[in-house]
Amino acid sequence: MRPVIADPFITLEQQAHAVRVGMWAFLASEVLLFAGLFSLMTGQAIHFPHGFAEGARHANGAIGFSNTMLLLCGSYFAARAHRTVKQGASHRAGVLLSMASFVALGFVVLKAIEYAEHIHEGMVPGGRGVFFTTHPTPGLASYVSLYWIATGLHAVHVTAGAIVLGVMSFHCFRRRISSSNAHIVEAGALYWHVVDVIWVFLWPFFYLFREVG
Amino acid sequence: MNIRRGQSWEAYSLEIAIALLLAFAALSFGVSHVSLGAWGIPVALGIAAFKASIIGYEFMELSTASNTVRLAAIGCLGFVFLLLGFMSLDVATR
Repeated sequence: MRPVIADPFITLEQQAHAVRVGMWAFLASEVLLFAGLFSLMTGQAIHFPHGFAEGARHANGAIGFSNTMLLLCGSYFAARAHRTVKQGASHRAGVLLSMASFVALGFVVLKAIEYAEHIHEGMVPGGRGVFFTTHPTPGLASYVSLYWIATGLHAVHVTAGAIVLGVMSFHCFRRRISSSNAHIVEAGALYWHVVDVIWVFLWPFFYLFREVG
Repeated sequence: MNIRRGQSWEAYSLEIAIALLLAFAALSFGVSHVSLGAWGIPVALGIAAFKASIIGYEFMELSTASNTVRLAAIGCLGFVFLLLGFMSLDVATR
């Protein structure tokens, strides 16, 4: 299938460049959205180091580590799919994008299991309930609220990423995406890499800082 | 011969990158179980920054990107550092 050159572009290369730059502008806005949250998290963690360390000790370390590995592997599959489709191997790129999409779904399932554990334990935003009366560490409620907001927002992005990767995979299998319009896969993969980079910083913040220096 | 070596290195650059990323993620997890005192947070953030730069350089292809794309990436990082820097300065000087 021949790729369509949309108005006002004259060449496919020009269109691809516009897609690339537009995607980067969008990703910059996404990063700044999370940067606001990171800024808040850093400020609260400096004020309440013991509360944040206590919160991190209640996070499920095994799920956090598994999810990190899953996202990194997903990034690899997306990057490899982009290089593969550039070489014209649409079907193989479709397989790689499907793998990236399944990995994203795996992340969401593990995150849902972890959220269920937290709800069962009473570790929910608001700072009220048995969990907070048995753990009266100052700042713990702040950690819990920020944990749910930041990881929840990230999980929404992962879900969107899984859908985007899945749709691109479908189009690769149908050979609607090939070497001439590989920039479509590039744009989707870029989004996925940013979602990965955000988790790379969320993970140590909410799971690894378990002691106060 | 040298060109062939260069080509084979480039062909497997993504595999080398993912191997490094997984190794450093495992290192982060391992280090979090060791008592490093005040060094725990800088070490974990340093490893995270290193992983992010591998993703940016290799997976996001910033190494071969156009100047416009590089400008967008650098501008974004600049604003992030500005935000975090002034926030930290505010908290530290209260």
